Amino acid sequence: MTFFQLHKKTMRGLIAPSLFLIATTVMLRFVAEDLETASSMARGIAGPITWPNTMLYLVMFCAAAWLLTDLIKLSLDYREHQKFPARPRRAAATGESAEGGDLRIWVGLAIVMVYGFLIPVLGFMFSTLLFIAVWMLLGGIRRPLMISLVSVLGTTVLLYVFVKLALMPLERGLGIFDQVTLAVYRFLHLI
Amino acid sequence: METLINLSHGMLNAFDPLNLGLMLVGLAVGVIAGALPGISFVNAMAMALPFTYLMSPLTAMVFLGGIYAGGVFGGSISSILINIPGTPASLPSCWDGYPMTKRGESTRALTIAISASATGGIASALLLTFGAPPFAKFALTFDQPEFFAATFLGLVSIIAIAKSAPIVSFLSLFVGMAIGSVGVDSMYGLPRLTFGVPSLQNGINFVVVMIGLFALSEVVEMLGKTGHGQAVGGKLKFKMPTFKELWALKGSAGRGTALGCMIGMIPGAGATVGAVIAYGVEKQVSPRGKEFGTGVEAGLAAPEAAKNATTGAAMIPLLTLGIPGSAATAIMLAAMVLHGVNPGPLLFTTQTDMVYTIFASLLVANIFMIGAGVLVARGFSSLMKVPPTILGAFIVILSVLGAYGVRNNIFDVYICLIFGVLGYVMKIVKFPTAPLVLGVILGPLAERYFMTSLANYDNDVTIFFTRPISGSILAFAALFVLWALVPEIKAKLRKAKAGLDDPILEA
Repeated sequence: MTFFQLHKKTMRGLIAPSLFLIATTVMLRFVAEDLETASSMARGIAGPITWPNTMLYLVMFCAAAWLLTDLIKLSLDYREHQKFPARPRRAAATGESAEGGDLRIWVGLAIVMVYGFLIPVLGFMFSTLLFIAVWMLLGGIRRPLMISLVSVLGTTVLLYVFVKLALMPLERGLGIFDQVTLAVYRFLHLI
Repeated sequence: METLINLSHGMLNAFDPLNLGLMLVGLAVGVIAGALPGISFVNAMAMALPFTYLMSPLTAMVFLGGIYAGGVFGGSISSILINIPGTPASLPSCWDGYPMTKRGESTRALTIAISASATGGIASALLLTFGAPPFAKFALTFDQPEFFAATFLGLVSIIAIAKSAPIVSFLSLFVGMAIGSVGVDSMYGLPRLTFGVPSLQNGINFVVVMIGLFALSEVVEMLGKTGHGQAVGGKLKFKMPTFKELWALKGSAGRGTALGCMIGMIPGAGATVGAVIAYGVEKQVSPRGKEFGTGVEAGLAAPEAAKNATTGAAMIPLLTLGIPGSAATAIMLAAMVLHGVNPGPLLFTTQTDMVYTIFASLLVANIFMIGAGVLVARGFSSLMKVPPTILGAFIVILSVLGAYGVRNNIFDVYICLIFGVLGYVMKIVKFPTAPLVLGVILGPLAERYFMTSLANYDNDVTIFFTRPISGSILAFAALFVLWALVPEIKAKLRKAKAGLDDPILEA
C-alpha cells in the first residue's frame, strides 16, 4: 500500500486545512491591492500595513509548521503501518475522525444562509416567519398548528422587543413586502 | 475613619427609595441586555443616557452604575446556557459554563457564576472605596507601551487554554488578529485587506465573528445531533451547589478577583483581558487544569470573578483622573459631563457625597445583582426545556439580530453567516475557535497601542522593554508561556524516553 493510498481519508482532515490557510494568506498578501497602496505610506519602521502583514506572515509560518508536523505524523504512521500492519493507526484517530457531518447539518446551514440573504428582500418579518416554519419542518416537527403558532407568536414577540423596545431599524424588504410590513407594524402599534 | 463616615453617607443616599428603585431597574435592564446577544449592556447604557436628563446627577450615576454592574454579569447567562457570549468578556464563561449546561447542570453553573461575579464586584467596589487615590497615581504611570504589554499578556494567555496544541492555537490566534486588522487603519486612515468592498472599510466586528463561530455552528450541530423532543442538556438537573461547594471555589474566585482588580485599573484593558488572563492563570494553578474546557467549576468561577472585579477598578481612573477605561465608563463620563460634573482629583473634595454614593451604590448593586441574576437566569433556564429545534430557530434569529444590531447593517449579517459555516467546518477539522475570537477582540487593541507607542517614542521598538512596567509585564508574559509549556514538553520528553509514545505524534 502506498503512502497516499493509506492516508487518503486522513489527508483531507489533517493536511487540507493547513494547505487552505497557506494558500489563502499567500493570496491575501499578494493579491490585496490596498496593502500595496498602503505600504507606500509607511513612515519609520511601522506603517499601516505593518500589522496585517506581520499577521499574514505569522499565519503562513504557523500553517506551514502545522502542515509539517502533520506530514511527520503521517509518515511515522506509514512507517509503523509498514512494520506492523495489524496495529491500529494513531494518526487515523485524529485525521479520519475529521469527516464531514450529517447531511441535515449542511441543509440547516444552507437554510440559515438563505434566511440571512432573504432578509433584505422579504424583510425581517416575512423571512423570519418562513425561516421558523422551515427550520421546524427540518427538525422533524410536523404539526401545522404548532408550526403556525410558534412562527407567528415568536415573530411578533421579536418585533415587539427589537422594533418597539430596542428601536432597531429592522429591514422591511422590497416593494410589496415593505408595504405589508409597514401595515403590520401599524396594526401591532409598533410605530 | 473619614472614609467610613463618607461611605455611610453614601450608603444612606444609595438606600434613598428613588435611588434604590432606579438602581434595581438599572440592574434588571443591565442583566437582560447583557444576556441578550446583540443588545449589549453598553448599548443599553447609551440608550438610557437621555433618560438621565430627568434625574439628579447622583441618581443618574446610581442608575447607570446598576446597568453597568448587571450588564457585565448578564453576558454570562447566554454564555452558559446557549454558548453565545452576551458580552466579549463572557467568552471564557462558554468554555466551562456551557459544558456544564450540556451535562444538565445549568442551575449549578449559573449559581457559581453569580456568586463569583458578586464576589469580584463587591471586592472591586471596596477597592474603589478605600484605594482609589493611590491606585490612580499608579494608573497614571501607564502609557501606550504599558497598554500594549497588558494586551499582549492577554493574547499570550491563550497558551494556557490550549497548550496541548500550541501551533494550531497560535495559528488560530493569528488568523483572528489578521481578521481584526481588516478595515481602515486608525492612524493613517488607509484601508487594508478590504478588496475594494466599502462595507469592509469599517472592519469586521468581533461580535459578528463571535456570534457566527459560537452560536450558528452550535445550533446546526444541535439540529444534527438531537431529536426534536429532547432538551439541550438531556434531563435537566436543578441542582444548586451547596455553600460548602461554593466555599471550595474561594481560591479561584479570589485569584480572579485580584487579577480583575489589577487589570481593570488599566484604561483600555478592560473586562475581556481580565477574564481571559484569569482563566489562563486558573488553568495553570488548578489541580484540575487539564480538565478545563469540560465543565470545571474553577474554570467558570475565576473569569466570572475577574470580569466583575474590573467594574469597580475601571471606575478608579475615571473618577480620579477623568480617563474612561472602557466604553461603559466612557458613557458614565458622558453622563457626568452632561450634568456639569467634572471627574478628576478635585471631585473627591468638591463632590465627596457623590463620589461615595457611587462607591456605595456599586457595593449595593453587586449584592442585589445576585437576586436580579437569579431571577433572569431562572427565566433563561426554562429555555432549556424548550425542544431544541424551536430553541435553535430562535437562537439563529437572535444571532442574526445580534449581528445586525452591531451597526444596523445587513453586511454584518452576511459576515456572521459566513463565520457560522466556517465555525462548523472548524469543528469538523478540530481547529480551535476560541483563540481566533480572542485575536479578533484583542488584535485591533494591540495594533493601536503598538502603533501609537512607536509614534510617541520615535519608532523605538526597545521602548516596550526599557520602560519598567511595560518590561515587567512582558517578562511576566514570557514567564507565563514558559510556565505553561515547560511541564508539557517535559512530560512529552519523559514519555518519549520511556518509549511509550512519540513526541511528534502527540504534537
